[in-house]
Amino acid sequence: MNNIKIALVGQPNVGKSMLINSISNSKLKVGNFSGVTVEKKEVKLSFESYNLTIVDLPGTYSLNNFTPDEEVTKDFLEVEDNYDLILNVVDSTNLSRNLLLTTQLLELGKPVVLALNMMDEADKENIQIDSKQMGAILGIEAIKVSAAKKQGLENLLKAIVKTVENSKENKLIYSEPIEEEIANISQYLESKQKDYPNKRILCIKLLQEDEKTYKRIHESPIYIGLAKILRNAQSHISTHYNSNNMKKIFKQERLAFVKGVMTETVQTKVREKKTLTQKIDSILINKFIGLPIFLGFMWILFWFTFTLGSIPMDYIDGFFGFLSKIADTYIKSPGLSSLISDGIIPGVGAVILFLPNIIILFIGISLLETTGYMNRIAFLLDGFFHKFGLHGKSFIPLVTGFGCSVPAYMSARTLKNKTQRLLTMFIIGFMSCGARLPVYILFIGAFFADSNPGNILFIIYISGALLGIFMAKILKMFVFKDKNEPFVMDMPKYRLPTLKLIWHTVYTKALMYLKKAGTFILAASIIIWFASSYPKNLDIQNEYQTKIENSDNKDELQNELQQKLLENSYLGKIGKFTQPLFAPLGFDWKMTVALESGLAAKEVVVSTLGVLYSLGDTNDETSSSLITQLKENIALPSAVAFIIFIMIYLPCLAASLVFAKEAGGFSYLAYLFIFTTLTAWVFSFIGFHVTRFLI
Amino acid sequence: MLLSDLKQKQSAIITKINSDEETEDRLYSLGLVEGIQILIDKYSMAKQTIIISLQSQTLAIGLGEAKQIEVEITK
Repeated sequence: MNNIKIALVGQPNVGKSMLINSISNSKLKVGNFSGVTVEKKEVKLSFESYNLTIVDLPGTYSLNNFTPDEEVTKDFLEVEDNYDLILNVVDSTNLSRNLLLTTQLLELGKPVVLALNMMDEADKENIQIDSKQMGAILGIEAIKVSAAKKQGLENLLKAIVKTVENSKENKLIYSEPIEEEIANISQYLESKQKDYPNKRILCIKLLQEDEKTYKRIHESPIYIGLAKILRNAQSHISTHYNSNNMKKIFKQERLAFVKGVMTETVQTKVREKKTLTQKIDSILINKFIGLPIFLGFMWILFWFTFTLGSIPMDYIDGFFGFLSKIADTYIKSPGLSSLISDGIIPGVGAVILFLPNIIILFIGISLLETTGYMNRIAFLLDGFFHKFGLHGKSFIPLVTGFGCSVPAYMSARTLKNKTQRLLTMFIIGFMSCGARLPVYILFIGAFFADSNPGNILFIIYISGALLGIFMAKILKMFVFKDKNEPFVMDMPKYRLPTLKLIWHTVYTKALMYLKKAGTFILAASIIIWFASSYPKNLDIQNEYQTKIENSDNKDELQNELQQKLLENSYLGKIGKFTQPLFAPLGFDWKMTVALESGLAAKEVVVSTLGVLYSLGDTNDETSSSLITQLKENIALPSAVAFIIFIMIYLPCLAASLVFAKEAGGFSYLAYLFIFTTLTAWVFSFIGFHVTRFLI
Repeated sequence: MLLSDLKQKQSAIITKINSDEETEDRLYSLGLVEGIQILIDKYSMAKQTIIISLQSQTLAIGLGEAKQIEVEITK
């Protein structure tokens, strides 16, 4: 069987993903490219005697390199150049803009098939398209399809096969002066008996001063004569256009060509009635109620995420606790049993624990995206966020961050501009996540029980968020100095996504979360477990073993043993070694270890403090004796500094790894570590001294 | 006159675009080019963002970008 590799290209919101879903049968195989931050999806299917591989490229408005997404598409089409055919999907209700991209694709010289998608909607809007005529003018197959209604898909696949079997040159035709010069150059190349494939495209690229083409031709001896002809050609064209900017001239040419195609093949009846989208928009982006409605939607989404999500959470938690117990009981070797029941199961379990939340959140986010509402939100919020170097869409990841940073980092993908995406991701940690709550509650209970604890908690959350936005401004001024993404955004029509599409997006994302986070977390939890339980100190263990057996106060001694063991573990040693770094903040080595173990997960801070202040492993934030212990052992300024540090420093391991993946490398994680640690240290230092001054 | 000077529900024709190349490319690929008729749909609350319609589509554009577009009122 023959293979055909198809590059699926189209502008955003033309229904590419839906088309790929509708074309492929149930035996759909989806594989993700590894090593790229912005994803390309690949789908394989067979049709007639061919194996089709469709590469779903990120939506792009043009091939001019604007966003990282567009760069992925451009690179794939022009640099990697490893495909047989371009399947260009266009929105039939918005052809003039879509066809501009088509002209650029035709200039690549590869076989192109045009899928006139959303035909059903075009019919409804009384847009009549003569696809045969359009195909004839463009010199390619133009097929009417509707991905949503599954119409025309068979014809489309047939057209693809037909185009591959007998490909011919497309008919992108420019105005006379340019065509004349193309002929001139072409003649010259012929006279030198150089047989270039795609000669016409080569001539066009030369006229457009395309760098890659110039480099290639420059090596050849014909370049000397060619250079002169090109100079003449360009000056001839320039006189016709009153401009010597070839890029601009060709832009005008494409516009004119599209206009020509439109007049000959498309008939639109002007309608005076308001469209449904306009009606919805008059409510959803209304000056006064638009924002409250949006906040309402968000509230519902987060309410679902953290209440509905917590129902299975208890079961998952219970299940893993149960597994731990079984492992502990039935595995005889104590080292292995501890590794599995204290290291692997709780570590991996903690990741799976968040899966329900993540699924709900992703359903919500993919609904926002596919319906077209996301762009409206960006419109509503851009004015405010713009002032801090963020984008309207930054809102979603930031609010998600109050729940859990892991889905927050993942949802930052909706930001197309890399600088703004990174900026948003750098400040997500400032939105205190749910796991930090136990630490706050513990410390508020110990040190601020007299004042209103609720208010203190609110102050912690709000000051974290404000600090985050403030830091965004600082980062924007000194680090991410790039220009902002110009705010020109399509407001697509509202559309109802199909269930299959939502299911598919959420399923792939959830699977990826489990795979990636799961494998990393597995490794990381083994490391943390090892650091906190090795080297085994048998002397201490034996000494206490006998003590415990002969004592009535078994619990206290058991706790003392735990403390001694932790103190002598690698983690304890690291804590003692690094304590001088935190001495200016008033932290003792126990607080230092607690902070460091918090790098694994913020909940661990509480249990570590519990162990270290000799109260055993069973503490939770409500334990009153731990509160007394903290009160006696920690001074108020140190406690304030500790809270501030917890607020700001690096999120947990799971989140950090997701951050590294989403940001595009571990070097970014190193930057994040330095940035958050320094900020945390400085603000803790200030907090420490201000508190000391006040009391 | 600049696009940012237009009032809601006013239509105009774009006469000149004074953006840098990158922004101009983006405007171009969305169909915002000289000679195109546009209609101001709506301003956001602080007038930071403007919604315009042209041909069969709706676009949102930032105030900064709107200030780079010269227009002529048609009615």
